Amino acid sequence: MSWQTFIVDFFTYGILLYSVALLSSYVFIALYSVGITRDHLRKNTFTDYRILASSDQLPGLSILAPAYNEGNTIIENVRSLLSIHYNNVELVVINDGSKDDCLQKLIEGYNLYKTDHFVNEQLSTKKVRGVYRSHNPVYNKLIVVDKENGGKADALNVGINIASKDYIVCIDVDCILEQDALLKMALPFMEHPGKRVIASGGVVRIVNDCVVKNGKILKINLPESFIPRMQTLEYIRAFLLGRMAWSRMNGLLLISGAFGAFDKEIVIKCGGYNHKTVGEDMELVVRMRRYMEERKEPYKVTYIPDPLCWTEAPNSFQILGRQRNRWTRGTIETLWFHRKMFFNPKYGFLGLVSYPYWFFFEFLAPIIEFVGFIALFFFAIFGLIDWVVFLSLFAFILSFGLLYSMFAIFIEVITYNQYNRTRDIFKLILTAIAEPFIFHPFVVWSAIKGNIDLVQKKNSWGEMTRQGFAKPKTS
Amino acid sequence: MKILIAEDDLLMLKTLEYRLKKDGHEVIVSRDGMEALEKIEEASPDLIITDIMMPYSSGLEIAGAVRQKSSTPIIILSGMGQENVVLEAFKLGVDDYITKPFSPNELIVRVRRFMFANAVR
Amino acid sequence: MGHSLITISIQLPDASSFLSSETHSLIKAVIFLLALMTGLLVYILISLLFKNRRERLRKRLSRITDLLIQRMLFNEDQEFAGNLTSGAGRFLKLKTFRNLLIEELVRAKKNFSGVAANNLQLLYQECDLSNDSYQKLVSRRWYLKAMGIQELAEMGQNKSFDLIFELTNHSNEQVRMEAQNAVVKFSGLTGLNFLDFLTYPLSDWQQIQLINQLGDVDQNASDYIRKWIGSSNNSVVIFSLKLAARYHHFELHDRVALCLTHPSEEVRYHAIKTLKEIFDENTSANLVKLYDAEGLRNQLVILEVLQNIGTEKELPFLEREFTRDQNEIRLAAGRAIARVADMQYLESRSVSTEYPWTEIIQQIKGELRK
Repeated sequence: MSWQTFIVDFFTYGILLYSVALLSSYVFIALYSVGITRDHLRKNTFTDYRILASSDQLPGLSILAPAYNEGNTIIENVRSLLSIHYNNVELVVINDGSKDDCLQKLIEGYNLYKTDHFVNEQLSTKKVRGVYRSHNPVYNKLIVVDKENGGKADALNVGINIASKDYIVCIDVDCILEQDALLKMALPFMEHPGKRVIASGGVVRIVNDCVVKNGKILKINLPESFIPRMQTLEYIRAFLLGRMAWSRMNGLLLISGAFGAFDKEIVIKCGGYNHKTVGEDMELVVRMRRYMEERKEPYKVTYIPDPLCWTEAPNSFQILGRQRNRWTRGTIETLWFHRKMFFNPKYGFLGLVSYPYWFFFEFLAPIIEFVGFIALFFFAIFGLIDWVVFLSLFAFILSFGLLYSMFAIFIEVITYNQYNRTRDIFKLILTAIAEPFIFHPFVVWSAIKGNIDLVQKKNSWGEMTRQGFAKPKTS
Repeated sequence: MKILIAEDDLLMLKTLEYRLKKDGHEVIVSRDGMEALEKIEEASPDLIITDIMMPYSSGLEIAGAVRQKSSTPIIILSGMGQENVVLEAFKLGVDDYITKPFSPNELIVRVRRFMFANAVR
Repeated sequence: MGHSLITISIQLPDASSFLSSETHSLIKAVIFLLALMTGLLVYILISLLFKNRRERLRKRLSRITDLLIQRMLFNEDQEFAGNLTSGAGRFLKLKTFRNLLIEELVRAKKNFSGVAANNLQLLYQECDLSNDSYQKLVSRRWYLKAMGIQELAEMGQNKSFDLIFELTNHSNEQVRMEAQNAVVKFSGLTGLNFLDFLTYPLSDWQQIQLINQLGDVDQNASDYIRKWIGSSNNSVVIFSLKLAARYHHFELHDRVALCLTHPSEEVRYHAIKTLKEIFDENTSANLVKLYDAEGLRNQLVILEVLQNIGTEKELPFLEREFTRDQNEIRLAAGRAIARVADMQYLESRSVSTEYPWTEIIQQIKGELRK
């Protein structure tokens, strides 16, 4: 056989095999997530959150909200966080060396004074400049920490050192939480006797174009502009299908940095957030799981599909590109740090399924796609392409992707039904049709740039602090 | 007497409205904390009956906000019965605290008490 | 999922006859997917239509149920109930209406007590809604079963007690939980008798619900609790420890103290916490004896308990712990010393001028000031 046919065959069969595996995993995830979502919703109707709210046995939560140059909105954001229903809670706002008047605004707005707080440095961090509390008893749940700039991971670690409760809830200070978000978040930690629930993740939804007043959502709308709407679809797909299926298998690797709760003791034992990666949210979950696997302790990472947290999605290709670039680097770094687990039976499901899945279908997918595209280009030049086959295959893939998106929309309609106008559903479907031509290539390109940046070592460290905080990640 | 009720459970809200109207009161209803605050501002009621766990603003926030401006009597009507919540409420200056499940008849009697106080003033 | 589907589209080349022979079936597959998609689209639209329509119907019906419930709540002479329901007779034939009415009644019942609550129960009986609930109870679907239990219990249908009691060790968690809540609602502490044979663990959340349901204290509770503390089901032991603490059963002190040597760390943790509520003059000494063999979590909770019940006899021990190598322990021991003796005593310790004790003392000072 000539070298040409060899190369062509190699690509053909390799990519074919890969595609079959990928498509099967999609089919599996879609179908596997349905049952668990349905059960969750049914179970939810029996849960009287008022009993939970009025109990004095609630697990203590410390909300950690890092803030960097948020002076314009910080007062409102903190007020909104303070108004959430939960009895046993403290709110730790960490000012990560903001260059604006963030701290000053907090001091004035909440009548703060500097306390003599001993910071038990269980995790080593940048220097803490001061711990503040309010004179006003109404704000007795509020603690403000002022520290030297060190990036999001470092800020969260300071928060962990300060936190006095058993569980930490990490959030982006600018996201909007539903009033019962903490009650719903706390419940999984009390529901699994015999297993230690080490972390619990929540859904992140997109707030663009929703009507918001005083930090509360009055009306949910589908985003008007294309990029956020595209992400709405992406998030529905990821949160309603992907994460649900993974959590059912107890294989969830990622809890979005915008809203997640963790068992503080385990977090500290594994060393807290890693400030050497831009994907600190994913890295922490992987490390905590690894820790539990190594100690052979039964554990669980749970996930709640109810829309609890709302966040502003990037509205320009530039910002979106930077975000995806960062996600890619975060994924690669996490996979690299924990490469020991790759197909390592010692790590059970984590090593044999979760990790390899991420490696092959999250990390490799954009690369394979990109390489495939280049190969296609050359094959076309050399006239090696049978266009009939190509086009029918292309049509097959497109329709498969579209079907998957529609299935996600379908699940959204029969469950939370937040975009309940027929017009909105059609808009979402049109968005799904447009995705492979506009949005998807861009996302792939951003991922490739992330790979290149990482290889060129033009990565994270310095840049990270300035960029501020990573947006939630979809899986 | 002009009474404002803030309660997110619609049935509960309508029921209270129905009963208080039967007692000859003028009733203003609001289904969430924000609506309540707005209506308090514009209608200045003689008595406020509020739940704690409501969307947007909790009953305690409402109590705090009202107390900064006026001494309008406030009755909290809530499922939360923990000591620290009740204490916090009274610290904020509420006048009465009723825990759910509650007897509507008892509520009416308590409301009447405030009515007499109102008449005396 | 980084949706890398088109990825695959690259694959293209033919050269090998493999694909070309497959082209035909590929096109078939595309047609199949497209058909599936169209089907799904239609299904989505129909679901949406039905969902919104059901929503509207419920809204309309709920106006009637609300009215019915409102009237009933404040209905002083109860004969009226008959008249009231006869007006709604037409609607009561509708299953949707009955289900909605039950749902609203159950929800309302949770809010009201006294005459109002009794009236709601009366309405439920007048409308003969218990049949619906019983039907759900015998359903094989767990969520219907659980719903039936909840309705019967909330509406005080005592006759269903035996049927429900049998479900307290059911294999489905939700059914089990609702059944447990129900029997406690029916008969308080004696309802808890299912703990005798419960093989499944009680989750923390379920314990909260049971305690909430249990409400006030029963005088002779301690005999029951004593029995359950000896259970082989650890979660039952923990639950009974919580009950002992909650109702301050001092007479159970010795039985609880026995749990300090329980093999489960979790049980010991709760035993320590319970002793804080029902301590006697030996408790502190017992805890100190236990201390060295415990892990960090239990050590911290012992120090916390000593803050409240410690005496001067424990001071030497607390001072030893104050100088230990872990900051959490130092802080907890420092707090205990400040409470057992006083702030001055704490400040006069020899380490108090060194790092980090100076800072620790400052913080404790701040806390006490509040």
